[in-house]
Amino acid sequence: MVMKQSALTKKVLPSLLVATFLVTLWWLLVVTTRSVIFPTPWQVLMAMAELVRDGTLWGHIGASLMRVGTGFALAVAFAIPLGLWMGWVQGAYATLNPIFQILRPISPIAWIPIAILWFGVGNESPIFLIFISSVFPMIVQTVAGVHTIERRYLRAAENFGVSRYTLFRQVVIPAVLPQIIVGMRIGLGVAWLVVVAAEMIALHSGLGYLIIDSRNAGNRYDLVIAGMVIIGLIGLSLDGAMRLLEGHRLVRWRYAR
Amino acid sequence: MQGALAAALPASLLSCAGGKDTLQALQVGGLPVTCNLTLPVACVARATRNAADKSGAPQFAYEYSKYSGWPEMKESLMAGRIQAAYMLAPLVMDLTDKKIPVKIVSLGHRSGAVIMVRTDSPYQHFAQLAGKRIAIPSRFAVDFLFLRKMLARENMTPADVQVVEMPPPDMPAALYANAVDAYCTGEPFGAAAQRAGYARPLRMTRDEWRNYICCVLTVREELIASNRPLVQDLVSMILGAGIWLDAAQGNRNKAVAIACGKKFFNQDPKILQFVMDNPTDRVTYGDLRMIRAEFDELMELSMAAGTIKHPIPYEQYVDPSFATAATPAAIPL
Repeated sequence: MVMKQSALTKKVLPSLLVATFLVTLWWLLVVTTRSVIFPTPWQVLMAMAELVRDGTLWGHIGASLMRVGTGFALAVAFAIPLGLWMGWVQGAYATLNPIFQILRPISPIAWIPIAILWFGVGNESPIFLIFISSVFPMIVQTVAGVHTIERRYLRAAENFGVSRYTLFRQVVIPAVLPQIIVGMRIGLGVAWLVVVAAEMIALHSGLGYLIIDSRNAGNRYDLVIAGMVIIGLIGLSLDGAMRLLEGHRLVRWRYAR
Repeated sequence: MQGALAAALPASLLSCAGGKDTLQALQVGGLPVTCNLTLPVACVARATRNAADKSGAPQFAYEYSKYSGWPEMKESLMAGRIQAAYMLAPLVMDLTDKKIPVKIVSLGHRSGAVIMVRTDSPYQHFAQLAGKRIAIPSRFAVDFLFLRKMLARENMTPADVQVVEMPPPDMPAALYANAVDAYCTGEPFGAAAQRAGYARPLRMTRDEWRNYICCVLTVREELIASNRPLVQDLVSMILGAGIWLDAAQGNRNKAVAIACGKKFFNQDPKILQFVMDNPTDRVTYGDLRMIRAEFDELMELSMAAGTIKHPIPYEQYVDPSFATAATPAAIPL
């Protein structure tokens, strides 16, 4: 137990120290420059407390998580079967890959006018923007997963004379699963990354909306930074949750540590 | 309180002009909206007069610096990256309350906001918008105060409609796609949809609130302290531009030709022309007097809207001395 605790301290302590140093530096810089625009860490904390007190914080977090969750889930449902198919069937890859490579680098902000035309200004538009941002990295990762399956696995299976279907189900999918999980981790990271851009057209809620609304207000950069910090912290926990998936027995075999 | 002294900025960022060999132009921030039309006219008029200056040493110069949204421009002004901008009046009130050293020195226009609905919609009276979805640029925009005024006139409250915030350039498309039932914003974003044929104005400030003000020339106090003559010249030129714009339709046509250029709004001249012509007083510029009661009204409306928390003294956010001392400049265009 003691061993475990000290290991944890060893892991967490350095980053905690760096974070403390950065926050102190931020505080000192604001105080010494006497900036009336840039808030101190304390003001940001107070802004968060204000959000908690007026009860809007949970609404914003819930709305953002719902949109990111839905957009990401749709992207997973779309990207993984498509990625597997594209990885397995050369013709599908040759046909679709160039199109996805063209669509992939387009920022969700560029999609906003089109999203409004197609989906209006409700929840659907931000969900679409999150979907479009996270779907392509997952397709690419899944395809790469299929393409990098070691030949000897396939040969071995062929020697046993298994059908193409069994090969796909019992060899390809387990072999690709670790890559799919990596792709999902990247995809969720991107989905959460674009939440601010996606919620530029959100109705009245979401952490992205909070930031944009606070910018529209006069001098409320405490709320802007509070929103940024909350997005960062939630991003950290989402990534942590995805890492837990990487620890799953089914995919564990692929990782060195 | 020491904050008033803060937001320090390097003096080199000050675009001082007076009496130097190399005349550095003052950057004046503005959005590509017709409420700001006096700014391109004033800039070009000043440049024309400078070019005609036989002495070869013009005193003042200013340039239009285009921004695509209020937050970006506000942040530049707050940080001192620009010293002057056409800002939203209630936003300036709020900024001075938060110790940002800025002052309103002139109006830029009057009127020029519209509430648009689809041509094929059944809406003929404002009250029919009850329960409908109406887009506004933001809760802090003066357009929202216009909408609130219309609501109050019909004994309605903002709770009776569904208010949606979105950038004005997205509004015509949103109306076209039936994502909103109406939108309330400044020109030319109403005219863009009207000219395209799918939208019509339901209400215009022209008919409802003739002395409506949204964009006002705002400068940082350092600029007032360091170069009063430059601010005075800019204000005189803007007042001159306003009178010139309202004096003859031909002048407005010239202004459209100037403003649609790449250096300025970079918009379809036909849409700008549409704003100028349909009807000719859709936006007006001739009366740029600063009237205390009008600012008080804007403040009260903003307080009712919850965007300003408490009364802010007029003297804190307005410096009327330039407008008072100004003789509207002749516009040689």
